[in-house]
Amino acid sequence: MNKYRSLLIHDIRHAGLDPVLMAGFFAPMALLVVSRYLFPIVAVWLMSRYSLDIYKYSSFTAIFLASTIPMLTGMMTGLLMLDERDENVISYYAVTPLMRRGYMLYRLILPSVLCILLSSSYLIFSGLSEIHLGMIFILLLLAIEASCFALFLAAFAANKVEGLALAKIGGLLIAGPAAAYFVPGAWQLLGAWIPTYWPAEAFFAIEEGRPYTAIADFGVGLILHLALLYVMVKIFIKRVD
Amino acid sequence: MRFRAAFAFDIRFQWRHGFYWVYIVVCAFYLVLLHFIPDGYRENVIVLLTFSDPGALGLILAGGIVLLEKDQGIHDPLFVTPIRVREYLLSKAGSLSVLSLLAAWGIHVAASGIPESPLAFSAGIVLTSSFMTLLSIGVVARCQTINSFLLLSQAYALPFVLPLLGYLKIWNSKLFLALPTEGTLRLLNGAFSAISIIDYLYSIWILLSWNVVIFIWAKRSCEHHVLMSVGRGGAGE
Repeated sequence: MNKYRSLLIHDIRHAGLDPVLMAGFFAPMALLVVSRYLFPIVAVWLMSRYSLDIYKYSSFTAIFLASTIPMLTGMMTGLLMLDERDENVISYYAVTPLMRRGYMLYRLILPSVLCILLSSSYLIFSGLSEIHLGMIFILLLLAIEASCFALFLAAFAANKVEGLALAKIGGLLIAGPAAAYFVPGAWQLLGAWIPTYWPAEAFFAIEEGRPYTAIADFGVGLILHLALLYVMVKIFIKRVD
Repeated sequence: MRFRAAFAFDIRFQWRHGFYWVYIVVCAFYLVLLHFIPDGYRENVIVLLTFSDPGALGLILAGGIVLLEKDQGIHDPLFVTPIRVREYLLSKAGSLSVLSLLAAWGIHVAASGIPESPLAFSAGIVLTSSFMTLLSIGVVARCQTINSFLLLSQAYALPFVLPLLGYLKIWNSKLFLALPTEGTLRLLNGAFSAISIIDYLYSIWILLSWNVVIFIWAKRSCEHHVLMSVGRGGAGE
């Protein structure tokens, strides 16, 4: 445990010195402030100018923005891992008591924990959705997504340039909530392969008071997320070895 | 001759690192997205998409390329060859503009056919892409990590997205006329309707002027932060 603590202290100290790492924390906080204070102002403006009621879309806005949080924390971690790999830092960790496995575990748990803290703050305080105990399951799926996003870059990119290009594609995966909300009928199956689709589906089911559908969505989402995580861990380990 | 070799190398580099394949996927995704956008909004969404992605792709990608070159110590051997910083910069801006142009045309032709004014549309994309690429290189010369570059580049680019407020009719100001992106939006709009000669000349002039200014700034940044470190492993200051 000690070995992880020293790494965490190093990261926090680094984050304190480097405003950039703080951005991983402040960007979700900015989303929270925008949703809480700017959304109502924009809603009034749109209503008066275009007679458009965006409160109809508040549930969608809540889960859509909450889904960007694992992307933010995950991708920042993924790019950090690529930086560390390009600079051969991972090889140094491999010969410390932490070892390569410990390094990977730490780098995957950190964005997930950050994601749980930030996403729960967002869902509780944004004022765009009702607070419900079932949200714990949504948070669990979002936390696994954060690790998946980090590994998506670290496992598939050979260096930071490829990491940035892949981040571009990774950013498109945010389309899951939009597919769950806007795409009609059977066409939704096209969106079902996107991981972010399932927490959004479960979220809408909870909001509409359909607990069994929410449990089914969570179950399918959990299997998909764990399968993705497993495959990416395997690829990452193979790549580092 | 040196520029041609650098330009060809940059295109090959971008191809090898999958930029072109990534943009095939991105464009395909945008086309699916545009399919679901109602007809009344489609033109605006196409302009916004073209501006924010193919137009600005150099902002992120150029920085990544330069950072990787720094890590790999490429600048040391590169800048002891006869290649000049200006050729290095123009080659990066030119090669990424090719990708921008192909992606923008791909999206536009597949979503709404050949642009009404192909020359204005192409000029808007190329000059915006080169501006964003040079801005990115000017920023990245001062950064050591990818995350610090991402944050700083967004901060530098933020003032240049202000004309979008006017485009979306949220808030208009005469000051936007001084920004190159006002010219970009006018030229991209020319894809759907004919633009006046005044708009045409103004847009090209403002984009070219900003390209020159940002080129000089990027060149100084490179000379100060990259060239000065040659011989020290090329890893910045």
